[in-house]
Amino acid sequence: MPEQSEKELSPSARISPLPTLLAFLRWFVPAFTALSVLLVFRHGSGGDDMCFSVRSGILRDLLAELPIGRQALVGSLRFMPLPTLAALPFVPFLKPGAYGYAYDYGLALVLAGALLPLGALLRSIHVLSPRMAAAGMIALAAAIWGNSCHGDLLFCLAFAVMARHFESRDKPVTRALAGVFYGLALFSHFAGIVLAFFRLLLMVVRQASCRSNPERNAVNWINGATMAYVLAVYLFFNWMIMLDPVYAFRNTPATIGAGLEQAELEKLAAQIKRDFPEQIPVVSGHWGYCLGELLRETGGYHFMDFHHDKLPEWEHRRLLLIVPGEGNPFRAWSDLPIEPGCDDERLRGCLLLAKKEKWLFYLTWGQHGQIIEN
Amino acid sequence: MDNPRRISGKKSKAARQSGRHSALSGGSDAKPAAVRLGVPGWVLRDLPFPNARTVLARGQKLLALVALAALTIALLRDAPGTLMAINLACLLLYLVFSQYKLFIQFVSLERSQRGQMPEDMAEWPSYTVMVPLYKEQASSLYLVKHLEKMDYPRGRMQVLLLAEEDDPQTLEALASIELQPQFEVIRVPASFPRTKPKACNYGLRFATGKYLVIYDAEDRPEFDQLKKAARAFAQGDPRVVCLQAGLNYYNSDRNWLTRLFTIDYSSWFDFSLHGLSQLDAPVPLGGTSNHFPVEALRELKGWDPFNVTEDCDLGIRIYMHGYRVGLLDSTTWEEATDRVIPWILQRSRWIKGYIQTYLVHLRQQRRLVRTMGLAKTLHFHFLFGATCFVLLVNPVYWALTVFWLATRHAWVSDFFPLGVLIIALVSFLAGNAAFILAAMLACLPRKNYRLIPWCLLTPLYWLMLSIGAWKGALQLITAPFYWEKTPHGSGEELD
Repeated sequence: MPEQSEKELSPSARISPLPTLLAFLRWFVPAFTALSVLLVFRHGSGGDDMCFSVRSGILRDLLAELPIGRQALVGSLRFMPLPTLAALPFVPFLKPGAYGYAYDYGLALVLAGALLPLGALLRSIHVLSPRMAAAGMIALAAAIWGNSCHGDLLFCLAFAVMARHFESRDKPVTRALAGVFYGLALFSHFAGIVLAFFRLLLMVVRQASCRSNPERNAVNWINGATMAYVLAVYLFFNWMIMLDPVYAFRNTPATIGAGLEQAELEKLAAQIKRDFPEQIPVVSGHWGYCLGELLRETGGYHFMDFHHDKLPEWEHRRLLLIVPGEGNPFRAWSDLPIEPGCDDERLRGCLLLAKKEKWLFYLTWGQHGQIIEN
Repeated sequence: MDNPRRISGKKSKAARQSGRHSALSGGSDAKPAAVRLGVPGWVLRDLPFPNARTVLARGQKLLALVALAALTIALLRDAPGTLMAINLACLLLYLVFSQYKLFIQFVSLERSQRGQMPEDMAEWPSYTVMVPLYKEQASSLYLVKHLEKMDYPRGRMQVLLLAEEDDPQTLEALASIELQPQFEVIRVPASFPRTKPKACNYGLRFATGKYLVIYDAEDRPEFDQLKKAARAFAQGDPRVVCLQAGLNYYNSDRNWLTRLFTIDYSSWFDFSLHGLSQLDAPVPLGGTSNHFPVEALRELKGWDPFNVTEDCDLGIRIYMHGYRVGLLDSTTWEEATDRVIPWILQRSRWIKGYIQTYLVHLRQQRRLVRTMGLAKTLHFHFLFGATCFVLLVNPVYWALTVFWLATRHAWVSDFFPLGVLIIALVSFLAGNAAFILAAMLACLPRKNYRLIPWCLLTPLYWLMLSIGAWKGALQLITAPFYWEKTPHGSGEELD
C-alpha cells in the first residue's frame, strides 16, 4: 500500500472552527479599534506629513480611475501596492481630503492581525503575559513609526511576524503557509523583498544541507513558489500598467533613498511662483503629489512618468518641467530618467532654464510644441 | 434468497461445469440495448422523491423561459449595461465562491490528525460489500483477489458482484474465477436507465448484512477498512448513516494527468470533505467506499437510478433526513484515468450529475431550507450550483483575459471599471493562486511531495474541467441518463 502518514478524522471527532474564530476576534477587534484611534490621532487633523499627501493622492486618483493612480500604485519601490490596497476598503467612509486616514485603518487592521502571532512568538521565548507584551510592542511601534512614511515598514514587519509564526507551527500544511505572509511582506515594502530574498536563500542553503528531510524540502518549495509568485505578480502589474516589468526596480538605490521635508517643498513652490510666473509647472514622480496645491493653483500637470505624448493635444503653453537635481532628497522619488540635455528619446525637447539649489528647471512645450535646441 | 439471477461463490464452479457459463453469456446475441430496453417496474417502484427522471420540472422550465425572455429584453434595451451587470454578478460570484472553497479547506487545516486503529469487537456485524461491474472483465480478477484479502471474518461478510446480464465479458470473467463462499454474482436485468445506481438498487435487494459498502471494480480498499467502519458505526454519532472513506490513486505516477488527478482527489477528499464535515455541512459522497447501515439506506430508498452522480444526490438526501455523513480513517486506492479523452468523458458525467442533483433539489427549495437551515442550504448552492456555473463560465473569462492582454482593446476595458477590475484581479491573481497553493498543501498529508511541482499545471487541469463541464451540460440536454463509462484495467496494479 502507498504510505499514508496522517490519518483522517474519525466521524465522531468534529471540531468547530467557531471557537478559534471567536478567540481571534476577541483580541482582534479591540486591538484594531485602539490602533485605529492611535494612528489617526497621531496624524492629527491636518495630516500634514509628506507621505500622507502622497497616499491621499494615490487613493484619490485610483478612485477617479485616472491612469496616474494605477501607475502610482505599482510604479515605485518606495510606495508598494499592498498598503494602498489595504486602505481602499476604508476610503468610502472618508471625505476626499481625508483619504490618507484610510491608510491608517489599513495599517491598524494588519497590526491587529499580527497581535496573536506576535504573542505566540513571545510565548515561545518565555515572555510573561505574551499577548499583553505583544499589544504593548505593537502600540509602541504604531506610536513611534505609525506615520505614512514608516507605516509601510510596519506592514512589512507585521507580515514577517505572521510568517515566522506560521513557520514555527508543527504541521507541515501550516508551515507551508508562511510563504503567503512573506509574499505579503514583499508586496508591502522593499524591505520585504530583501527579507523574502534572504529567506529564499536560507531555504536553498538548508535544502542543500538537509537532503534527507523531504518534508522540509517540500514545505520550502511551496513557500519559495509562493514568494516567487507574489514577486511575479508585482512584475506583471508593472508590465501591465507601466509597460515595463521592472519599472519599479529601475534606479533602485535612489528609489530606496531619503525621505522628504515639507519645508523643502514649500520653499520650492514659493520659488516657482516667484521666479517662473509665466510658466505652467510639470512634475513627474510620486513626489509630485506633495505639490498638489501649487499645481491646482497654476493649472499645472502631474505625471508618474512624464513624456510629451501624455500632454493634451491642445496644450501650447510654455511649460516648466521641474526635476530634482543632484543631492536632492526628492530625487529619490522621481521616476523621470532625465539628464541635462534631455536626450531621452521620449522627451522631444526641453531647455534647461535654471539650476537652483537642488532643482533643475526645464522649459518645454506640449506634444506639438517647438523643439528647442539646447 | 433463491433467485435465478443470483449465483453464489459456492455454486460457481459447478455452474461453470454444468454449462451455466454459456447461459450467462447469452447477452452476446441479444438485440441492441437501445431497442429493447424499457424502465421496469422495480426501478420506478421505490424511486426517491424528487428524482432526476425529469430533468427540468414544469415550473423550472417556465422559470428558465421567463429568465431568458427577461435577459433578451434587457439586452435589446441596453446591451452594454446588461452585459456589465452580468459581468459584475459573475465576478462577485467568483469571488464569494473562491472564498468559500478556500474557507472549507482552511477549516480542515485545523483538524487534529490522529491515527485510528480498528479495535476488536466482541462480534463483528454482518457486512455486505457491493461491487457494480460493467465491462470490467479486466479488473474483475484483481478485484476479487483483493476482496478475498479483506481483514473481516469470512462468515460475517457477503460480497455481491453486480454484473449486467447483457455484459457477457464480465460475466465470463467472473465465471472463470473460483470464488470463495462469501462471493455472489448477481445478474442485473438489462433495462433502462443503464446506470450504476440502478444496479446498486437491484443489488440492495440481496444485501443481508447489517452494513453495506459500495466499491468500484478498480478499487483497492485498505484491508482493515470494514473493521474500521464497523467500529466507527458502533462508537460514533448515531446520526451518521454513511461513512466515506478517503479515496486516492495507486497509479498517480503514470503520467501528468494521473498526477494532476491525484492532486485533485487529495484536495477534495483530504481537505474539502473534512472542512465540510467539520462545518456540519452536507457532504457529497464520493461514489465508492461509502459505508451504510442497510436499514438506513433502505429507509432513504437507496440511490436515484436516473442520477449519474447518485452519490452526491444521496449525500444531500442523507442530510435532509437529519442524518450525517462521517469521514472514515481509511483509504481506498483507485486507478486514475490516464488518458485525456476518457478523463473528460468521466468528468462530463460528474458535472452532468452535479447539474442533475442541483436541479432535482431546487424543486424542493422550501424543504431544503426547512430541513437544512438557510446557512447550510448555501453549502448546497455553492457545492452544486456555483461549482457547475464557475466551470462553465471560466472559458469565457480566460478568453477575455487572453484577448485583452494581446490587444488591450478598449471594448474589454470598458467592462472592467475600477471596482469591477479589482474584483476581477483579486479573483484572477489571488484566487487562482490560492487554489494552486491549496493543491500544493493537499500533497503534504500523504507525503506526495513529488507531486508538488505538478500543481503549477493545475490551470491546465481547470481547462480540461471546463471542457468536461460543457460536454456534461450539453449532454444533459441530449442524453440526460447516459452513463459515460470510464475504462479501467490498464494493467498497473497496486503494490
